[in-house]
Amino acid sequence: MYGYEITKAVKEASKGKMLLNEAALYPSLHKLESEGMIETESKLVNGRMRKYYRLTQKGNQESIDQLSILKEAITSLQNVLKYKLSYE
Amino acid sequence: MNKIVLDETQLLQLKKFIISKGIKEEDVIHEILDHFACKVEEVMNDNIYLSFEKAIEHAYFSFGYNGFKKISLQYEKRMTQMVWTEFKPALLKVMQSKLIVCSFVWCTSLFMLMFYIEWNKIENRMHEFVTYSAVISFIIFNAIRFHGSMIAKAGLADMAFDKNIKMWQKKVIKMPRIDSLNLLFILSFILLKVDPNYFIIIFMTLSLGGLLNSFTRKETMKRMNNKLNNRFVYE
Repeated sequence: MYGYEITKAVKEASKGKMLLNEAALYPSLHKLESEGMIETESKLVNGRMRKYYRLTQKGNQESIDQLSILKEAITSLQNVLKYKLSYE
Repeated sequence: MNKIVLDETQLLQLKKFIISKGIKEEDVIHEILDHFACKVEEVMNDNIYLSFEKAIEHAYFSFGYNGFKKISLQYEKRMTQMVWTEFKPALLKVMQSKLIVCSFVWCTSLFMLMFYIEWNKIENRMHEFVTYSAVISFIIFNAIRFHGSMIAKAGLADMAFDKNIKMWQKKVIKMPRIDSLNLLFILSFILLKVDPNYFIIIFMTLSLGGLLNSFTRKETMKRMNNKLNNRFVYE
């Protein structure tokens, strides 16, 4: 996926509820790249360089881990909200 | 209806626009250019009556205030970080090379020998021999050092062809030179009024430091080059 495709995908998948700003996207992509989470490849498309980003194995594992952490956090938050004090 | 695709002159115009916003790094320009071009194409496809100049304004607006600058700043930060992360393993690798280890052992043993003779105040031919060999090794080390810096410079020249890496090249050159540490060493010796005989030792350290310095810088460049260039596929 290339940068523009990513912003488009986020917008479409969230039905326009989430907007990914370019100024936020590229710095985080660069950060992930230096951490070895994603790798890039450049191709010449329509007379310009296009940089494609792809998750590495390390990045894949990390995203699975992070998602499970997020899921855990949401369930515990739900449990807290559902909790009824015993003396009520 | 055919989709609008920007032609070469329009792309050049976009590139000029990006540069006019203060973006210098070729790598960042390429990245922004593609995104920006996609955006402009989309704007133009949505409203075919819109002029190219107006479409640029619309697309630039979507990047937000100082949008380009933020991307470029982050890129620079990352590159600086990379120089340092690559510098450490490069230094370690160079330190382990036979040449450096041998030179170090040679210098240290000479130093110890001189120190021993000075201590025992033996003014004999042995002293002459040590001074002589120290001078010889000074010449040899300087020659090696010069050779090392030539290698490093040649490496720099090779990589200078690549516009993308010009930016971080400057960063590597700006890396602290071990030479300056040696200079400080010499100055401290002068201030402490040490026997001039020891200057030979100091010069040896200087050349050793220079050797280490140039090799480390070359190794850092090589590592960064490998890391960055493997990903780039040029026309």
